[in-house]
Amino acid sequence: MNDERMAILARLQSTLGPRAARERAAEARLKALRPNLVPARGQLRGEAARAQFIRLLRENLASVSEVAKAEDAPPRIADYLASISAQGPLRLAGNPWLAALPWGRTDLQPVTGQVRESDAVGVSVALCGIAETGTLMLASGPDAPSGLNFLPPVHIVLLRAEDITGSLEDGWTRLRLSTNGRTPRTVNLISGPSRTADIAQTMYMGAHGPKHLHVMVVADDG
Amino acid sequence: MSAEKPDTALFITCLADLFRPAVGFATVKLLERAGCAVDVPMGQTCCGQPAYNSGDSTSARALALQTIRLLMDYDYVVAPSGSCAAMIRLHYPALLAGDPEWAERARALAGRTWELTQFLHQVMKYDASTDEMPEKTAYLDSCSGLRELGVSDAPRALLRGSVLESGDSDACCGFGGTFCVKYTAVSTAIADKKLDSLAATGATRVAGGDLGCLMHLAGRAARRGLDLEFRHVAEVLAGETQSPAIAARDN
Amino acid sequence: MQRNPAAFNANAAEALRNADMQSALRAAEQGFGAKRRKSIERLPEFDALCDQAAAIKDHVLDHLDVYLERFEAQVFATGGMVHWCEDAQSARAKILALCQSVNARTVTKGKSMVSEEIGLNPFLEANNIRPIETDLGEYIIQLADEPPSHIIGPALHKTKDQVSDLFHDHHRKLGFPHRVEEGEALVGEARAILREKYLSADVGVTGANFLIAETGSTVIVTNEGNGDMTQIFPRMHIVLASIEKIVPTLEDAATFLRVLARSATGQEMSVYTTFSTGPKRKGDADGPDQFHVVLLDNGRSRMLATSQREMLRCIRCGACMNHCPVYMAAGGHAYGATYMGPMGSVLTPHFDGLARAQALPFASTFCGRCESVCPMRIPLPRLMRELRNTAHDARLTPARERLWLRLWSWIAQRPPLYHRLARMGLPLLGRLARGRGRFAWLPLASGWTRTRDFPAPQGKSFITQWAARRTPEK
Repeated sequence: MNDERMAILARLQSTLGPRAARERAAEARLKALRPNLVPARGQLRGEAARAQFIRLLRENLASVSEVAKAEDAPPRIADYLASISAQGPLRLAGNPWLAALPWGRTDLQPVTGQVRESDAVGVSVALCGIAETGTLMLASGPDAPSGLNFLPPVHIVLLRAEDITGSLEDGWTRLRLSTNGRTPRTVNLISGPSRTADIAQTMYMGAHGPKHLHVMVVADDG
Repeated sequence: MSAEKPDTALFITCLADLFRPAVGFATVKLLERAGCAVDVPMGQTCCGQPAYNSGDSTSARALALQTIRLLMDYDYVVAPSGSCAAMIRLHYPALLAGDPEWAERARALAGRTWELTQFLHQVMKYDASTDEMPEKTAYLDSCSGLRELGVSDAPRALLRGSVLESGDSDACCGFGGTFCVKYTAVSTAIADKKLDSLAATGATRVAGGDLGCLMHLAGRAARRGLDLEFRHVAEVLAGETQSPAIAARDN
Repeated sequence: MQRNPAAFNANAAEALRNADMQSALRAAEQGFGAKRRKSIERLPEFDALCDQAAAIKDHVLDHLDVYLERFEAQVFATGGMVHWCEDAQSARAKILALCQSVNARTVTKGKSMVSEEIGLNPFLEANNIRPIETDLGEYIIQLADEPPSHIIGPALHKTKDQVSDLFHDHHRKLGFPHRVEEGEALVGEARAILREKYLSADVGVTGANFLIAETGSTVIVTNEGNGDMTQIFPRMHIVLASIEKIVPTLEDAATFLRVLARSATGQEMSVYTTFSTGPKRKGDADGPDQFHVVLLDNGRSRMLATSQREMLRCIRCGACMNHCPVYMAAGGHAYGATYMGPMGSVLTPHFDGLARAQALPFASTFCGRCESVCPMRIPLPRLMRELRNTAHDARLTPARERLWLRLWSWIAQRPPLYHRLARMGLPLLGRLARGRGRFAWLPLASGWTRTRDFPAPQGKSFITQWAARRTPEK
């Protein structure tokens, strides 16, 4: 194995020439973490960013609702689940913010812990939303299993309005801050519900991941 | 360069020379109308593109040198073909880039060589308004002209907006030089798609800037019995449409 | 259909007779083209982004050794392993050894063209490990025992009816006794069957669209979510990726993501883009215990030393084949190789040898549409032309073609002879045509006249007539 490593690197070096200057150039780029061109539509802020984020998510066949306060989320989730006739266990990510919501005001009886195949609904919290493309960024961790984003057929994601940013680059900055520069095992960028066009180039929803993606934007995380 | 009449060499291209001299006469007529002093250097044969595209760079190089020698002293060189003009403009300099003696001459010639419609429209600002307005005509873009030289607006401007457009005007017709005989079945399938979309425009005449594409499509249309007439755009612009169209019978 | 690039012509003819294949290709040509165009119209910065992305790849290629080592160090630092493999055989053996180290019986797989390149599935099967493709397209062709016909739509050539038959054949014994025809139901059946596989597989193998040097992350881009379930639930996640997939930073990855999906499917973003870094962390709720990256060279470091290095910028979006008239007539299987279309016609000679694959760089009209849509600005026609030169110089092209070409060039280099032959030959041809204006058949021109009439010459050559016209004046 080491022989192959040496052979590949040696071949590269003999083609690419002296290493010192190239090493400096690469180091500089890795240190600078400089964004390249960010399109105008990725530079929106505030209300404009929020509006575009929601519009693009809907274009990508996710549904989006907005609530004024976090405590309004459980009843709205219950309404949403009723509207798509979803039934069965609702699994929450172990996120303290989620756990603290007044679920008792609904009949949902959510559970936490390891995601199971029988889970009908998964509820996660996004690290941020990216307005440029209507994309959610979710990072895995002890209270954020990435399996929850894929296994249940209905995926509900809560997102604080203040966490909607312009571009993916903005998202990386937030990620680095929130994880102290330690990249989590999994970062999921999610831009809609699962789909496939592999049968006769026709789009069908719910290929392997969730058939439904519902994003709830919480205006005030009070 | 004389201020009034630029010394202009017609590079006729082998296909027009051998199969459709009418293109040559139409081109001369247009160039003279546009105010050029036209000369046809007698030693010209082939630009070397068949060899170049088939991997025979040695032959291509020899033909490039022959052509450069012949054409280097004119103010302009004009070819009624996008692909032959692109051969001189783009590929001669690439072919001879490493040649100390010829690289510069290749670049100089490249800068003075033009595809006919682009030359008329952009360089000579040719005014086609007194020419007869062509009817029910579709313009066939050739890929070399379109993508290598950007020939798109010029022929349409010269045909004065009378052009019928198909949705896939930037799609290849399947000619591809030796490709059309090397991969006959694929070439023909591509031609059929092109013919179907040309026919769907309602055009009865197809005008194009490259004789290779035109002969290939005209030959296929004739075999399929399609009612479409194919002519070089120079013939149409010069009003020389009395002779039988490409692959059409004598009346 | 022969799995041999030398059979391109025969394979293409077969594909042209296949009505299902032709209607699938027609739909693909219109669908991919229109969707890409529409998404680009919505992003005025698209061209500038492509220029930047191509420049980043050039920078990466100039510093590939440094970035690969940094990537490796970051994978180690986050608890993963990197395995360097010179060729397909080495990569297969490495993956088998990894699977055997956890006594794996079944392996779920995300879509990976590199896996096709190294022939992983048959190798695992021969060693009693069951690979299960989970991308729906890959799953379909695995059931059909066929190779992909498109790099992003592997089962593009299959009709819904054919999928119904395949599923009925294979799913009957799995508790799905009825043949279903509705697309939704077909998707549902595959979903139900594969769900259980994700959860019970011992190892998950995915490819990677990008490898991030800054963080040691591997990136996959999908719409189905299968690649995620492939890597979340098994104990071991193996990423199989070739060395040129490196990009320096997460910021750089963002630039590539802006051009990848738009070029491929016309989406602004694919539904799922996933960055995987090391195995699950202490306290993590899920994720693999082991994370391995198998880095494949397979001729790429050698390519870097040649004038074909621009090909290493390729991000496998498929735009070149989606816009290629030859691919859209012949279909992907005609190329008889892992990669197809213009990018395949450049890559295959490097992987399979030019002697075996010389027909492919000639399978292009040089229409240039591939280059014009390539987000990485790869000069595909120039690269194919170089391969044609090499093939010609090594006498790998058909002898008959070389002879004709030499004869034509020899005559064309002797203008007096050329024009004398034109003076003699053209009237003869003209007389043969007898006013019909064309030939249905000509000796030595069957390659043309098999499907097309050959336009008759108008008469004497232009040069002959021009010379005659001028002479009296002098």
